[in-house]
Amino acid sequence: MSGLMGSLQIALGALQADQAGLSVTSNNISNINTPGYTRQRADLVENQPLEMGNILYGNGVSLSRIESLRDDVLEQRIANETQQQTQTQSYLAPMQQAEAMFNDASGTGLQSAISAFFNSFTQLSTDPSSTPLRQSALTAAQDLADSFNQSSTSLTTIQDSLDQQVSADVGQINNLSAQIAQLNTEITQVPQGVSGADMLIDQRAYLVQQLSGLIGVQTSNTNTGALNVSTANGIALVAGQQSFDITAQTNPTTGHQDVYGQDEDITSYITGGDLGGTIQARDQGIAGALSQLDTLATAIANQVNTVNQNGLDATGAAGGLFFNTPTPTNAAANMSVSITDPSKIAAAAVPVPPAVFAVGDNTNALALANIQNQTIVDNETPIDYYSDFVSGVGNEVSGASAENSSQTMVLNQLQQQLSSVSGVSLDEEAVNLIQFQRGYEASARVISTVDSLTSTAINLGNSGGS
Amino acid sequence: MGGMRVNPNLYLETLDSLELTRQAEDTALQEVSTGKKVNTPSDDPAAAAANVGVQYEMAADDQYTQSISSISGALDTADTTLNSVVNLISQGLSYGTEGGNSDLSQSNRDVLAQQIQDVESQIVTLGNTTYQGNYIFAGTATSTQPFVQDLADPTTVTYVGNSETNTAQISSGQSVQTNLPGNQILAGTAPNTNVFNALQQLSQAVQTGGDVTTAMANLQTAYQYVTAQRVFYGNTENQLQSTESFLSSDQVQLSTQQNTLIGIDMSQAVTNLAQAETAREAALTAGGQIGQTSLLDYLPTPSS
Repeated sequence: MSGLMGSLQIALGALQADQAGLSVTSNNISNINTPGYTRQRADLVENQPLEMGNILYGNGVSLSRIESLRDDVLEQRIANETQQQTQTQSYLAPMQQAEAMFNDASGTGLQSAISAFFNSFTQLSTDPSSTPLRQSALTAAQDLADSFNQSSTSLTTIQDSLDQQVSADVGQINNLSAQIAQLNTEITQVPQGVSGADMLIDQRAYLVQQLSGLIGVQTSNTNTGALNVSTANGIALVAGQQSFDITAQTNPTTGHQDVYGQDEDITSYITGGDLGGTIQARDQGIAGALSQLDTLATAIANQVNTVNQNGLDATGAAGGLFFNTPTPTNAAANMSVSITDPSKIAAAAVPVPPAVFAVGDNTNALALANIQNQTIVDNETPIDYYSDFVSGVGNEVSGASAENSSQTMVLNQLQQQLSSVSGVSLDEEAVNLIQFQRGYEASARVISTVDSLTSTAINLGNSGGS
Repeated sequence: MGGMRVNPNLYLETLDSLELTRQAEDTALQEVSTGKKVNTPSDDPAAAAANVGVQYEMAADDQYTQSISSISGALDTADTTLNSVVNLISQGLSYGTEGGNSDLSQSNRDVLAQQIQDVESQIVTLGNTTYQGNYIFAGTATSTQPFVQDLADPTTVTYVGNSETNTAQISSGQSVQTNLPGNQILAGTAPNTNVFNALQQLSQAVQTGGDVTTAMANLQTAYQYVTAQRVFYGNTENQLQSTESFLSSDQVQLSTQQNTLIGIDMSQAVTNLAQAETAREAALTAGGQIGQTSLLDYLPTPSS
């Protein structure tokens, strides 16, 4: 089709193409602040030329498709890095709260209570008959028990809030899985080659990013355009148009929420994302700290009990339990002093006959004080065990913190890279705007020129008239 | 189109650098305000752990210093008391010298014998000295009055304390014995080490005109024995003093160590803070500049 009418059709096609370009530009500009939005480009193509005789006539332009400028590989890397970065982030925050409780340089922590406790026996040894000194030793013991109670309770409080976070994360993960499945349905329903799917894919990619912030996932594209999503250990979350809920169920032993997928306890397999970090902090970081405190509290209580039972109290009677027998679980939280009467502290040793009990004998008070020098817990003295504990907590935090910083940096760089591919640039859109505007104006001019030519042609026949 | 497409969203990068400079500034500010470079265990886990050990040793040193002051009260009292005992015995010796004079009348002898008995009674009283309610010469039977005078025969003195001694820990590697039982000091079992017997013997010899010379020699021996016992208290007090000064220099050393572990070099920290502030201001200024304009600002508004 050539000739003037042909030119009109070509110009019309150009108008439509430029309009499409303007529409894409307008859409890009309006979505400049939309999270997850991938900039689009109107892909214009030359129409099949017309062959007339030996000559090929150009046949104008048409819109081939509207393309989203995405980089799947980069998006996948961002998803992976997000999973790791959010895991360390979620692990770090509760561990930082925990380490603040054992900051002995700033007056928190157990060192001063441990020191005061053993020193009170040293002081008692200078005058074992003194009721005020016995009372001080009892008070120091009470303070030590309180310190263990408080530290343990605070750690448990952190653990409980992590536990609630597990349930919340599970709910959000299910919500996102359902939305992804819904988008899969919509995407597979869009006929192939129609550009509407791009925006849905944008939304889906954004949901996958959000999901990666919650849990480590693997994704795979199917040939229908659907995206399958499963946890890192292979439990399906989304398969085609269907999503599968994971559930949080209370563990009767720990009282904590275990995560189940497809009727299987997957709690310990979950890595990545907020859920991975939260479970790691709840079941390893904080749980480990709690168990170390329990170990220390148990060792001190048992040894002090043994030594107190080896001696004689202020009345010459055999010493009894100093602390209540440590409970098998939560020993630190439950640590308590058994003695209420200061005279029950066994400061004197059992005399070797013919010697008899004497109230001024300090032998057992010295033995009580000397427990601090004995390797009673994991082949360490109490204070060495505690200082290892402090460095352990500190190392957890500094390790996670360093890891998190580098992950954050990598993630930011990847996001900048992605943005350089997919982000909307106002400068660029301004240029597109002018380009399409000018194109449209030129095409319109073509139409009016052709119109004028057509009119000339029409009027050729009645040149004699009027 | 030449060159690589750059990230149009510069805010992302700006946010990163703002965050980093803010962290650096926070850290520097915290170091300056607390005077510490280890403000949480994670700042330097090894230093934080070492610091626990240092604080623990400082607390122990405090306790040992306090223990020394507690036990030195009793030791001082014992030493002073024994000094009085020694003076009383030498007074007894001078009464004995007087009583050895064969020209004395019986009434003079009776007076001197009574004076010697009074010395004995006074030594009993001194032997029952208490410090903060505790009998200091009763061994470890500190609530029992150790020396008892027979009411019928005041010259007969019985020791009812025990023969036990206590020790006290005065530094992490050092213990001292804190008492001598009263029977060891004043009522020894070795020949002529019982002050009361010697005085009683002298008093009788003076009164009856007996063998004053032998009694005097025996009391002399007892005198030397008590004086020798006193050396224990003097030595212990010296040991306490030298340990006390060791503890205070150890405290200084520990606090130097603590400062090395967790303290900061203030001039360095202040410099860091100034640098961090400059960096943050630069980042803020840069952030304020970006994205203010785009090409759209330079295009003519479409004419209607």
